[in-house]
Amino acid sequence: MTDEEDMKNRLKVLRAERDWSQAELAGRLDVSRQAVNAIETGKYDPSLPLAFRIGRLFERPIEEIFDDEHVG
Amino acid sequence: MMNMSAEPDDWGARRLEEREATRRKVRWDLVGGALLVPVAIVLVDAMTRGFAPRAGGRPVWMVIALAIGMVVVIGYAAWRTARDEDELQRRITVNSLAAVGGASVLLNLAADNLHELVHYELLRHHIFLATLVIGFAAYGWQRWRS
Repeated sequence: MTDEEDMKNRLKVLRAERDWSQAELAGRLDVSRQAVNAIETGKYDPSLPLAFRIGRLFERPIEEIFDDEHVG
Repeated sequence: MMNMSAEPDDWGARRLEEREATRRKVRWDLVGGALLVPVAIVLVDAMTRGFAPRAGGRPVWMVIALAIGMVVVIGYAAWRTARDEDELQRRITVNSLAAVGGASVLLNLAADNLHELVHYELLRHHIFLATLVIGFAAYGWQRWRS
């Protein structure tokens, strides 16, 4: 599904802070719930446009959400 | 966290639900369309030549119409479905199609050489079925992993 090195991210934490379900976040990002789950668990790295959408939604720069220095 | 806009707090979930309902409807429409095409072709033949059983198999025009109709329906269904998919689903579909293509090339390559030794008439047909199985397996595995 993804490359050997999956990025870590804070999506689950940010979602929990807003008390959103995965379905809620998926609807706001225009993706499936499976996509949100796959990103949160590090099984799928989002495309750049989707990463920007996530950043805009949480009003944070991408590098605050996705960390490419601590790969799994 | 408070929602500062006028939108309800669960608008995302509602939107997702609506989108999935639309996708389900489109899927059923496509299934209906796929069933309708061969039925319509057989009906046209029956109405023009009668309903009585005939010897000699299907007429040429029907074979061609069914072949073209099948390609058009499956092609349209694939395009229509892919249009509604998100990037993860699209990647899974593309990877599965790549598995089908790769398996087809390899198996046909092997079959070309084996054909000299093994004169098995259904070999091509079984290779076709094997590539489909590989495609579905690749799709299922990726869905399970994600």
